[in-house]
Amino acid sequence: MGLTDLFNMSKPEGDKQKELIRQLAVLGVKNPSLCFQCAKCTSGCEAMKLLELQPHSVMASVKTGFLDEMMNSDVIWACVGCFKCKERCPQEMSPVDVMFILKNWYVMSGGSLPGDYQNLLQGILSTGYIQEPVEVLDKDNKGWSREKLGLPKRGHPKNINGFMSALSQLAAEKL
Amino acid sequence: MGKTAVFLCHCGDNIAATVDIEKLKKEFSKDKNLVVKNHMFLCSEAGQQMILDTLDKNKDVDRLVIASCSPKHHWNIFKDCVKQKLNAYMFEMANIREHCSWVHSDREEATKKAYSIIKGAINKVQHHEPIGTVDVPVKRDVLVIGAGIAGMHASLELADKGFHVYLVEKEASIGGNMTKLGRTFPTDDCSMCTVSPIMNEVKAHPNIELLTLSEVVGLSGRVGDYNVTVETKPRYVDLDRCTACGLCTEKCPVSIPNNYNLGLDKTKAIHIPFDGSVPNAAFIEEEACLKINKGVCGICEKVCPADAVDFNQKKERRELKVGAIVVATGYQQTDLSNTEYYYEHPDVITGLELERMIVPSGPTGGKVVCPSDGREPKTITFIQCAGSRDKRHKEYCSNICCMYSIKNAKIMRAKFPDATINMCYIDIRAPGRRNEEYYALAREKNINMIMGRPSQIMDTPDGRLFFDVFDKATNKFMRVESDLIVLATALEPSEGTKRMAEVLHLQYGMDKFLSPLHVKIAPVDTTTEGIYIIGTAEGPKSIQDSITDAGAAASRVATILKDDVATVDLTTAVIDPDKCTRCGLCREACRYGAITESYEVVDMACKGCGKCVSVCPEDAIEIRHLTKAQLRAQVDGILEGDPDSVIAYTTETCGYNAADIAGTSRMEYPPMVKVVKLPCVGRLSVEDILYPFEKGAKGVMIFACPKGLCHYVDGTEAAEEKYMKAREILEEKGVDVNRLRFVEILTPDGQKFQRSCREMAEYLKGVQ
Repeated sequence: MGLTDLFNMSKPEGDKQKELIRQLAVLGVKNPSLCFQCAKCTSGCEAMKLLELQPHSVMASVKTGFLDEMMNSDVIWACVGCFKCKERCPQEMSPVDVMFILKNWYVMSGGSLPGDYQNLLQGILSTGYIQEPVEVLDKDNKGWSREKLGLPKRGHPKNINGFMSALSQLAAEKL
Repeated sequence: MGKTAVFLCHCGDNIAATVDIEKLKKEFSKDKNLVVKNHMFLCSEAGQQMILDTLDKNKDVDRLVIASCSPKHHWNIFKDCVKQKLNAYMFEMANIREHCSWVHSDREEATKKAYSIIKGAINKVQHHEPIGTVDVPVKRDVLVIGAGIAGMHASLELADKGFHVYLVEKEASIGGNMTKLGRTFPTDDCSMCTVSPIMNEVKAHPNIELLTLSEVVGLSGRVGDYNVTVETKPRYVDLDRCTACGLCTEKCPVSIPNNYNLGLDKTKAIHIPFDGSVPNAAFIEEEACLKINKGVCGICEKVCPADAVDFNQKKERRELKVGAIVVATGYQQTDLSNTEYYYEHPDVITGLELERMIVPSGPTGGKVVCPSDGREPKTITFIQCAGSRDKRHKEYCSNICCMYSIKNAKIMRAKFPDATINMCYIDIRAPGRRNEEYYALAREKNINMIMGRPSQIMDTPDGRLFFDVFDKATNKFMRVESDLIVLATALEPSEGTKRMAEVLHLQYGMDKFLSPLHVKIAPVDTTTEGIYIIGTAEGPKSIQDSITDAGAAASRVATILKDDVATVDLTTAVIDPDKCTRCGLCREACRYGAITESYEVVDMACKGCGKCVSVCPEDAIEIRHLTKAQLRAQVDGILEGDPDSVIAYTTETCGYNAADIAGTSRMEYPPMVKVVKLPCVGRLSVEDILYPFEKGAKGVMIFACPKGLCHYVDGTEAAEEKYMKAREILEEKGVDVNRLRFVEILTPDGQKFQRSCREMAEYLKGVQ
């Protein structure tokens, strides 16, 4: 490819792109080159409102091959993983999975987690939850708890130390 | 028996790049019984001349094999060529393009496969016999199904040419969707003013017989001689007496949603379809009428001054005899409820609903209002591609939405000079005469073009509609509030179109629109000779394109019906009276009543599917175009060329087409799979299924049309039964039953063909 990003002189990375496509295929997600840039993902992105994450431009960079640029940028860490972009993408793409893969690569290449993620990780290790179950609002602004929906109550891990060490061990193996 | 000529086509480098033609020529030339020639383009005039010259020079050649593209592509060209010197059936085509060079990349493997396919064809053609023809009297009447703009135009064209036309319409009035539109692009003229004169012309034409409230429910026969069953619902109003005074509607006590206005207002159980409807007469909605359902009321009958209401009318069936059929059953809007495109709010409407509000005679008297409270909208937003270009809903582009939304935005600007008008789009598609210029005019009208697709529409607690959208042009994320949101809803084939696919056994695509015989060079023909598809039944398209289709189909019909007789090939079954024991199994299997009590085949009734052959215990019946000897010789030839083959029996329609589509889409699959074409998989007897195993084939696959879509009623079921029996026999003999597979497949599903072949090969690799 004869493309160069003149702002930081980075060049497309074909091999990394192939690896990304392979990893996406494992998740059942198609090649990002099918993205036709309708920006529906960004229009519905929760992180766009607060943190100016533009999933469609992440997809554009990835499909052009500027992977390192994306991997080392802050934007991918803005994704909260709500999966709305994947649910609603008319071309069955998955910006959220692309960002998860890039985040993993970043950590595997020795990068350290941004501060907020450290807090999140600590939270998971100590409570077993990414987020404690809370009430959600429906479109009439009515709140629904698990109880009101008739769902069973969820407890915390009984053996919190065992849970923490198991999780840490798993993370160590993966890396 | 004479010699066989083998012609190898390079097809430019379509074939020659992957298949070593010179090597094949050398190999086949070793056989002294073969005359082998090659050409860059066999289908060209020079190529055909070479075939004719070869036949002239080699008087001992009495049959030939043409190794080139799919017979679906050029069979007719080569048939006409061969016909000049020999009987038209003394040749066989070996498909080494779609089934070989286009799906394999390894030159050696592809050449080996091509050799095997051609060897199969050479062996098969040794058993070919001349097939005769018969002259059939042609019925010069034509059936047109659907009286929208396409159907009406086709009817008029045909009627003007002197053909008698039956025009069948499901609704109470002709006119179709076009009667519902306000204005039409790119001329901005009033839709009803355009279509109304055409409707009246149809009504007045002496050669057109109009059947409203009617549907086609059955079809038999063949080109030139179709037998069609039409069912007509009672109108409960005498068409000759009704003067359309409207008194009945005024007095009727039952109020119902007005379907013509898409439920935007109400009408009565007895009503005139719309102003200017044809026929211009009242009719009763059966489901809503008190008299019909409960036996009470009957006020309309009492008040009618013309004595036109008639509750004694009954559902009627009519048999029509026609020579050709034109299908113009149109589109409908996709139901988007329960998707994120739609939002349950009265002020979120579709393009067609807006059209109804634009029409001066519409439910709002031509005033565009917010349906929730009747207020004038200050902000109107158009959202494009609602459900279109979306793999989860309609993968295709609905073609007309860009243009009609631009047109409606222009109309809104004229009506509301101070309003804010937004349009959210992905791309604007405006090809075609005067369309881009039309878009340019609209751009001058101060319309906010937002380059981005909203994710979801919502409303505030006080009912104001809004959505968030990212505009790629300004790189800004914005919140758009609107009084009225107009969705450019995806088009889909109408219920009638989907039903016609079943009743008339027509092919359709993954999108459910009816498929043309060839998307480029035969756009209104279907795989059934004498049946044509036009307008939006074939795909989303504009009024002008629908009219172009209609003219094309009228011309095609005239070509077929211009003569009093049509010459038909005798590709039918034939019974050997010496072998026949009159057991009755073939008569039981035949769905066309083509075998008489005295065990003779009625050529005009026989469709040539070969199901009778598969059940005959005495081998007394054969179809002329695929005898047992031919089928076995082809399998032998393939296995001689490549002993490690998997024989893939396909139907002539769905199965073979799917394999061809895998070819045109370059979907690679293992070269061990070799296709053997049958008219219908119903032709396969248990012995035919097992034969390749006896000869050492690695596997057998059967690609059938899906159940319910068999072109010969129930061939798929018949084949599946034989397949189950064959499995049992394999099991008894200790053969792995997974080497035999039965796959139901649709024409457009090349991917499934590829997948099935790959799975088979993977499995065989695993067990070895």
